[in-house]
Order: sequence, then structure tokens, then C-alpha cells
Amino acid sequence: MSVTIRNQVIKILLLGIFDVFAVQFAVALGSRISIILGLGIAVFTIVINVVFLSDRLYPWRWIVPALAGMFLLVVYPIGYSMVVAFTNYGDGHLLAKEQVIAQKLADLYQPSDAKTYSVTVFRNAANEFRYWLVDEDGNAFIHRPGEPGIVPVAPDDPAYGERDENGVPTSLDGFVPLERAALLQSATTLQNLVIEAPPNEIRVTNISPLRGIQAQELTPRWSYDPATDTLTNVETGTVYRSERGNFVTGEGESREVLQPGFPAFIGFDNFLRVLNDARIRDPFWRVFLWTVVFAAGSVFLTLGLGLAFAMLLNSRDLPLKPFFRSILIIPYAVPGWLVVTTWRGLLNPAYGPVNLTLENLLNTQIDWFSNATLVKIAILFVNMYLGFPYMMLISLGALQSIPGDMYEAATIDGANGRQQFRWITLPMLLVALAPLLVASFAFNFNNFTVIELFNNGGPPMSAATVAGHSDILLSYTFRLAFSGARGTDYGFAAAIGIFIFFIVGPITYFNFRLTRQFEEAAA
Amino acid sequence: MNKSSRLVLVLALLALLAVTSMAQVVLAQEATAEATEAPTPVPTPTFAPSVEGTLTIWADEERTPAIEAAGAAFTEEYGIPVQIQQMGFGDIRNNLVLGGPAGNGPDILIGAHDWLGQLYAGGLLAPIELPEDLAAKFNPLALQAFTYEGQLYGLPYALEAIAIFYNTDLVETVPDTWDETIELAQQLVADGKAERGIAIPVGAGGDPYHHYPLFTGFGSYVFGRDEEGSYNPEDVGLDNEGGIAAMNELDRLVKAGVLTSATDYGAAQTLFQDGKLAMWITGPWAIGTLEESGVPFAVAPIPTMEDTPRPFMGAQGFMVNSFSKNLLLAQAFLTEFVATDEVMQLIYEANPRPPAWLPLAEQIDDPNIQAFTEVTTHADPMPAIPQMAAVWDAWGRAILLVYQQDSNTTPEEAIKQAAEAIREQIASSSGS
Amino acid sequence: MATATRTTTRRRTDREGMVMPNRRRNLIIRLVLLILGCIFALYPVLLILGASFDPRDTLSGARIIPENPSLVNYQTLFSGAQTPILRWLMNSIIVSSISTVIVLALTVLAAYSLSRFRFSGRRTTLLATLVIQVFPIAVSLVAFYLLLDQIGEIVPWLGLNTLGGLIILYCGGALGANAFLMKGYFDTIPRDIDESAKVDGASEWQTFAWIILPLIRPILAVVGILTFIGTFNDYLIPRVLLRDTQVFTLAVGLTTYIGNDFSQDWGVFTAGAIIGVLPITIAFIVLQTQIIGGLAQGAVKG
Repeated sequence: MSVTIRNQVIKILLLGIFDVFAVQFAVALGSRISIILGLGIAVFTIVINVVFLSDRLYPWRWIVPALAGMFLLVVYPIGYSMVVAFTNYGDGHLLAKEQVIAQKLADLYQPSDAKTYSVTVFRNAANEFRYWLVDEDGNAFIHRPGEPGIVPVAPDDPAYGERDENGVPTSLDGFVPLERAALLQSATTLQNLVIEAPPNEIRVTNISPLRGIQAQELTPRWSYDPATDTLTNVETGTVYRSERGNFVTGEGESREVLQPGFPAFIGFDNFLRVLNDARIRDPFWRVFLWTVVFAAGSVFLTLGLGLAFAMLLNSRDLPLKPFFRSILIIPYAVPGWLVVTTWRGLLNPAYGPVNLTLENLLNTQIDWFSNATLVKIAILFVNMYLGFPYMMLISLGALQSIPGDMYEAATIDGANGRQQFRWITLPMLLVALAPLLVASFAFNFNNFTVIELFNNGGPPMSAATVAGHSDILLSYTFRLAFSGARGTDYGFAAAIGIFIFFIVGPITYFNFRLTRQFEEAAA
Repeated sequence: MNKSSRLVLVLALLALLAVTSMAQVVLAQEATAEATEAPTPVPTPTFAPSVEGTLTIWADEERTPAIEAAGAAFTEEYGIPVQIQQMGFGDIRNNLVLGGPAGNGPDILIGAHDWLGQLYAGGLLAPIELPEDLAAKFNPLALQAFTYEGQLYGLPYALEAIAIFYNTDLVETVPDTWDETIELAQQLVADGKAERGIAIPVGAGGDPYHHYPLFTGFGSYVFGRDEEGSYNPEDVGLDNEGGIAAMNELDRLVKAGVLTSATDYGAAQTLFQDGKLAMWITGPWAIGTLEESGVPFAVAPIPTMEDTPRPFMGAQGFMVNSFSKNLLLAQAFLTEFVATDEVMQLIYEANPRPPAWLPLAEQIDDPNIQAFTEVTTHADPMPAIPQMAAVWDAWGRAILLVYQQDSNTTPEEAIKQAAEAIREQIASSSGS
Repeated sequence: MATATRTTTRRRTDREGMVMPNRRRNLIIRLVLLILGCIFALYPVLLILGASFDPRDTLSGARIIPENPSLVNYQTLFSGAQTPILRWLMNSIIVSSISTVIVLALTVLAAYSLSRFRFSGRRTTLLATLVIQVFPIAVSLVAFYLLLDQIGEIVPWLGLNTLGGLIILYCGGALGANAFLMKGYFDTIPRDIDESAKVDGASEWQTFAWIILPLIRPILAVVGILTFIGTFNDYLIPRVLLRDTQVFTLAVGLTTYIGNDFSQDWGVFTAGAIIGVLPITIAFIVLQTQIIGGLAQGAVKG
């Protein structure tokens, strides 16, 4: 009994330590960065505490650590994407609205009557500064930080002692001119220098070790009115209203849009676009069919080849078994897209070594990239090459889990090898592998890297259709979202992601139900 | 363990939680208060995006060595630390789009002028002030390419455009006209001197970039230009008479076996390196690998078709992140340090391309670079407007259909459909 | 259990005696097929190897033995100040090893529970882990970025541009297909084994840690190698999250060589990829003994 108490104490202590960190993290995150994220972590801290303190929820203790990670790092991003899907976030709408306003308010211009100065910077040992400004007409001024504005200096004012050929004193209030090499090190100070010169302000606009320092009288070009949510161009008087993530003025032909824009909620527009866009709708069923064929075909082929190798390897007296196994895993160890690109070269209709061999055998040139059917065969083949080691590995694992006495019983009953495979190996394997095959199907459903890299979704169906013959749903819709006339459109891409989620999700669910039947049949 | 002692432990736990969370709230508030009082961030050792007083530069793998050398010299001269971060060329843009607004961008990035539209609309670039005497030392085409809405957003260092690389063992000079060139290409194959006479790279996306000279050579264009030279996205000229003529010419060459989709960029490069390809249309980026391979080659402009073909001109340059905390410093780095003979020379040596810096361009005696420099003078700057993104895909599909000798679509129909799709897409996106 | 092993062995010998004449022919067929399989598996990889020794920077024109083989690509790789390839390799190994260990731990615990306990929400959890993986990662990339940016404000070593941040992202995806693989394996271990342990007074945890865990070493090895390879070769996620050359993983570092539209440096890239294949292959060869060990234990389970 004392062991149990000790264990309880240890558990609660560990939980306490975890809680201290988790709460600190949640509070810091919630108060400073993102309330939603902070709340999420807080909720999870509570869930973990409840799970570890309640006996009834014991089985969850084993799962909760993995679930916590999944919620933070998978579910939260999905939730975020769902929010983004209702906005026009993307090229042209990247900055937050406050950032856009801040950027506009920081945009200064030089009114026609305003002056430009060349500046000499003086510094003392305490790293304090004095500025000597000379305007275009040669009039000199002094600015002392802490004192407002600039003070004019008479050209021959003896108070400033010795002057150089430009009339600039050699020292000022005991400060010495900043040497050239140190000029740029003071760039931050100069950048932040604002000298009042109503109605304008003087700002340093250029620092050059060779040309010296230039300052200009500037004034803000824009003013923002939070009450009406409008930006006004002070120079021209034009008023811009906020509309769907941009400040705009005018209507119809004279409508003018101010850049940059900001993300704005646009309701269901992205979703409606997925439904209504003829470029998505027209080729949809054709592409959908091929997507399913591609995903299912990839699973079938990779499993077929992988299982075949696993069966070949799964023999007691096979020599060099570790060697074969290591070689056969190598295609999986090489980065996938490097392999795809290599296969593209190998299958090049005129120069690819594989194609040249085929040409000799069949006496005809096969253009894998231009023919709608051939390209599909080639892609399935390449994907088989990429994926069979995975299936081989998991089949090897699963084969070992089949109890040996089942075969023995079968042998005694007189079953031959083929019968054993059909009635023992395959059903047992499918039970173990079915969920993985479902996952593999879902993965390939969205495997746009292979599609894009192998033939960019081509060959094209027509010049007007965005989808090509080898395009899957994700690849051609992403092409619209990432290289449309607006450039990258994350909001649209997120909406596409959600649609695909609602297409593959049910398929996965259905497949999963099937696996359950397997499981029950086997049990 | 009995219920009550367990209860005590749970209560103790809750008390501990309450105390720590309250302490945390107080600390967090203090921290935010401090943060507003002292906004100077402390440079962290691992990751320091745009830290005051330090310049961070994003460069791709080819430019990094030169920028690194330049940065070291800058640090030496002015005592300002310069940090270079190497990333893939395309990633520079993507990472700025993603990280710029969050304050994770660099001070300066190296990129191509056709990014301007996207980055400008994203509010991610700060304009660059170039003194007139300095501006006079730059190739005006390059400066024009980096000008957007009347302001300069990039300091160019190189230009590029495509031309014909020819194997000097096989071809003495590239003829003056396109037709003669094609005849020469066919002759070389017929004589068994070359496996292929001429190649234009065709990727899985059709590679419209490399086919653009064919279109301009017959009088086509992508976007019309207004008086100031700005591109007008509402005027798409790909399917004008010239565009149809170009497509028919392409069709003729594919039918005659002169051009083939088998010569994607990689295949064409290997063929040329192995001396099996006589003429190859591509840009100065190929010079390095070709020189290494030892194949004798020279560069000539693409010969005259009905008009002089104008390839796309691309300019590379330095841009300033609008969220940089060192705008003045970045500006000074570019105008005072990069825009000098020494640094431009350094960049050129690391990655020889036609320089945008005129004093350097005049000195260069490399005939290949000279030839490419010549080509850039009659090239069209690649449109930087965001609508260009809609053009590549459809246009590439039309080109591919010709290469595939698609039986359902004539070349004319292909380019008309493509242009129509482009117009539709531009019209539908102009509202947002 | 010891008795069971002995009887099994004896029976096997009997059977081998019976079918001996067919065995040799069978074996030869197996060997021929495996050799063909190896040629199929290796051919593209040998071309990649050839490309890494080819100074022409070509992938599509690669030959297994290049005409002018040279080490120039490897020299480039090991000489650049901005290409600390060994550092990248180490980063990759660190990220993949730590991720693999954590993923294994999380998965094995979850799988044990899903296999051994019956509780409400069990099937829902199984279903949810499967369905959630369906959401395209490319869409989530922006969210990953923002998430790590936010976390990094509080815990810098888990933020953007850190290996820690990358590792926790990988661990978040732990509960995927792998959990099923393990659960399936747990299911095949007869419950009598844990029950007899519990009769002897072992707690649930002790049963798991001392009795069951050693039995599932083969599947741990399989899931381990899958996770290791998956994280080692991933470039989609780290390319978005890592900025600093010093924290690049190998996959990200190498993609900088082919980031340009046309002048892609395939020579250096393939050289790096070959270097990257080595640790994976070594890890696999090391873990193989586990898989073989599993074969021997199959008899115990029966």
C-alpha cells in the first residue's frame, strides 16, 4: 500500500510541476500574444489534470499526451485555416489593417515650399548629439536635442568660433563633428531624429559618408479618421473608404484602389468561388475520377509490390536477407521529389535511357508526357517506385505478427503455399494494414508533389482548361489559388482545403467502416 | 491512499496553480510595460531579423559568396555587422511575404524585378532614393524595370535575357534570319554532325519564357504598353496576328522535327554539353556550366524573324524591406557601398551576368557577356504587374498543345483560347 | 512458453524435411526475383549517385558512370562558408532522432491504450486521428508559421527558426497512421500474457513496460525508421520555418541549390542527397537486427 501512496505523491508532484509550466505558458501566451491560444492551452491543462486525477478516465492517460500535441499542432492550424477561408488573405492583402494605416501615416512628402538641409552631426564623449543644418540658400541653423525646432545662426556669428570653407564650425558646444566611419553607426539615432518645423517636421532622408547627410522638411501625406474609417490624402484631398480589404475611392470607371490592402472578411465568397468558378466546375468530375483512380491505384500498386518483396524476404533460409532489405528500402530514403525528377529524365521520350530501351524492344517511341493515358500509367509507376518500400516495411512488420501455428495447422491440413497466402496471410495482413491503406489512400489523394513535379498536371486538356489530364483535385485547384491573376490567394487555398477535407473525409470514414468489418470478421 | 489525503494534495496543487498564474499575470503586465518603455530589442544569437544597427541580407546561393565578401568589407569600413542568410531564390520572396508583416523579414533582399508587383501590393517594399549622379551610372533599362508606380524599389546589379548559344565546332556563325537558321539546323542533322540542330527548352509547363522571342519576332506581345511604357493588363496581345503566326511557325517546326518537347532544359543542357546540340536558346545562367564542360561555344542574338525578336529582360537587384528597422542604413549600404565599382565587380565575378552598372559593363571583355548585354538592349522588361501570374499557365498550355500535336485544337485555336482564358481571369480578379 | 518454442522448432524441422526437394528451386526463384527488385530499386539511385560525380550539373542526362567523373560537387559542398553541410546533416539527425523518439513514445502509449482498454470515445479517437490527416499540409503551412511565431515569443527555443519548433511540429503529427500500425501489432499479442503478469501482481504500467514493450520491438523499429525517414526528408515544413543557414536541415539547405528557375545546381544537390541517404541507410541497417529479432520472437508469441 505504501508503494501506491508513494506513486500517488509522485504523480501529483509531477502533475504540479507540469501545471506550473503549462499555466505560465498559457497565461503568457494569452495575455501577450493570442487569447485563443492561451485559452486552448489552459483548457488542455485542465483536461490533463482531470484525466490524471480521475480513475474513470484511466485509459485516456495513455492517449492524452499525443492528443494534446495533435490539438495544438494539427487541429489548431486547421481551425486557423478555416478562419482564413473566410478572408481574402493573400497577395495584396497581407498586412494587418493597423499596419497599413501605420504605413500610410508614416509616408511623408516634401511640400513644394519646404526646405532641404545638409546636416553636419556633432557628438560629444557622452554620445550626445548636436546638429548643424544648412539650407539651399546657405542659411545655417542649429538643433539641440531636447530643445524645440532649429535656431538660425548668422553667417559670421563669432560665437561659433572657427569655421571651415563651407562655414561649418570645427566644434560646437564642445562637440566634435562625427567622423565619416562612425556616421553609419549612428544611423539609428539619425533615423529616429524628428525636428519640429511647423507645419512640417525635419527628418533625415539620406546619410552618405561621401555626400554627407541630407534632411528635409516633410509632412504626412495621409490622415486617418477612425470614426469614419477613412484615409485622406492631405496633398490632394481625396478621401479613401475601407472596402473589402482595401482603401478605395470613386465608383465604377473612376474607382481607385490604394495599395497595400489588408485581409478582410469576405463571407462565403471563397467557397462560392470554388462552387461557381467554371474553371473548377467544368473539369471537376473528370479530375475527381482520376484522383480516385490515382489514389486507389497507388495504394494497390505499392501494396502489391511491397507485399511481394516482403513475402520474398520473409523466408527463414534466404541468404543475404539484411542486404536485400537494405537495398530495397533505399528508394524511400532518397528525397521523393529528387526521385520524381530523375524518373522524368529516365522516361524522356527521346533521350531517357529507360525509354530508349523500350524503344528498342517495341520499335516505337513512347511519349510518356504528351499522351493522356501514358502519363497516367507513368505517374502510377513512379508513385509505385516511391511507395513500395513503405508497404514492404509495414508488411514485414505485419507478417511477423501472424502466429506461426496458423501456417502449421494449415500445412497439416494439406494447404499449399498459394492457399495459405489466400486464406491466412492476406486476410490477416489486411486486418493489420487496412487502416494504413486508408491513410495511404488519403495521402495520395492529396499527393500533389508527385503530380506537379512529374508533368505539372499535364498534358493540358485544352488551352483554356486549367486542369490537365494528370491533375488531381488538389493540384489544379491550388494552381488557381497560387498562380491566379492575383498571385497567391491563401483565403481561396484554405477554402479549397476545406472542400477537399469534406470530400476525402467521408471517403476516409467510409473506408474506415470497412476496416472495422475486416476487424470483426477476423475476430 | 485515502480520499482525504488525496483531496489535500489536489487542493495544494490548485493553490500552487493560483499563485503561479497570478504571479505570471503580474509579470506579463510588467513585461509588456517594459516592452513599451524600451523598444530596443536585444539581438539574439540565433535569429536576428532586422535588428537596429545590423544589416540582415537574404541572398540566394549564387549571390551569397559575393554579398558575403561585400558585407565583410562594409563591416570593416563602417563597423556595421552584416549578416547574410542564404535561401533558395524563390524562397526569398515567399519568406518575405510570410514573415515580412510579422517582423521577421531582412533589411535587404536580393531578387528579380518581376516580384515588384506582388511585393508592392503587399506593402513589403520601401522605395530607394538614388542620387542623380549615381542613377546615371546604371543601365536605364534596369532602373526602369525596378521602377513601380513612379518610384524606384530596387538597386539593380545585373540584367538577363535569352539568346542563342551555339557550338562553334558545328556552327561558324548564326545566320541573320530565322529561316536560314532553321535550314542550318536541319542541315546539321541531315549531315549527321549533330543529333539536334536547335532547341528551345520546353518544360512540363510549356516554358513560355523561352518561347516569347518567337512571339515578338512575329509581332505579338503579352500586354500592350501605354505612352509611359507601363503595361496595360487589359490589352492582351498573345492572340493577335503575330501570335497566331508564331504558333503556326512553332507548329511547322514541330511537324518538321526541328523542335521537340523532349528537349526540356536539362536534356538540352546535357546535349549541348556533349556536343550533340548545335544551337540552344537560353540565358546567361548557363554560361558557368557550359564553360566547365569544355564545349566550345559562343553567343548570338536570336536571328530576325518578321521583326527583330525581343526576349524578356529580367533585372536582378537589391530591395529594401519596408519593415526594416534600418531604412536609412539599408539605403546608405546600397547607394554608398553597393553602387561602387569594387562591389559591382565582386558581384559580377561571383556570378557573371550582364552588369547593370555601366562603368563595369563597359570594361567587360568577355564576349559572351558582351553578347548578352547587347541582347538586353532590345528586350522587353518582364511585366512586373500582378496580372502576369495569370498569363504563364494558359500560355504554356497553348505552347504544349502545339508540341503535342493535339488533334482537337489547331495552333490558332490554342492561343485564342489561352488569351481568352487570361482575359477572363484578369477581368474576374480586377474587382478585388 | 519455453516449451512452446521447442515444439514449434521441432515441427518446423519436420516440415522442412518433407518439402526439401522444392526448397532449393523455390529459393533460387526468390533470389532471382529479389535481385531484379534490387536492380529496379537501385537504378535511379545509381543515376543520382552518378550525377553527384558529374561536373555537368545534370540530372536528366545523368549516367551511372559519368564521362569525366570528378569530386567537384562534393568539394563545393564541403568548402562553402554558407554551406555548412556537416552542420545541416547534424541538424537533420538531431531533429529526426529526437522527433522519432518522442513520436515513438507518444504513439506507443496511445496505441497500447487503444488496443488494451475499451472505453467510450475509443473508436472516435481512432477515426479522428485518421480523418484529420486528410487536411492538406500545404494549406496549414501559414498557420504553422504563425503558431511557432507566437509560441516563440514566450519560449524562444520553440519558436521560428529553431530546431525545437520543428521538432514539436513533427511530434504534433505523431498520432497518425503509425498509431494504427502499432495498435494492430498490440492486438496480435495475446491478452493472456498481460493477464498472467497482472496475476503475478504487476501494475498496468509494469505490464506494459516490462512485458509488452519488449515484445513489440520489431514494430517500434519499423515505425521508428518510417518516422526518421519522413522527418529527415521533409522540406515543405522546415523550408517555411527555418531562416538561418546554421539551423537549416539538410533537405532545406540543399534545396537552395535548385531554387533558381533554370540554372539548377543538380551536381551539388545530388551530392548532398547522397550524403543524406547514408545516415538513413545506416540507421536502417542498425535497426534491422531488431526486425530480425522480431522474427525469432514470433515463435514465442505463437
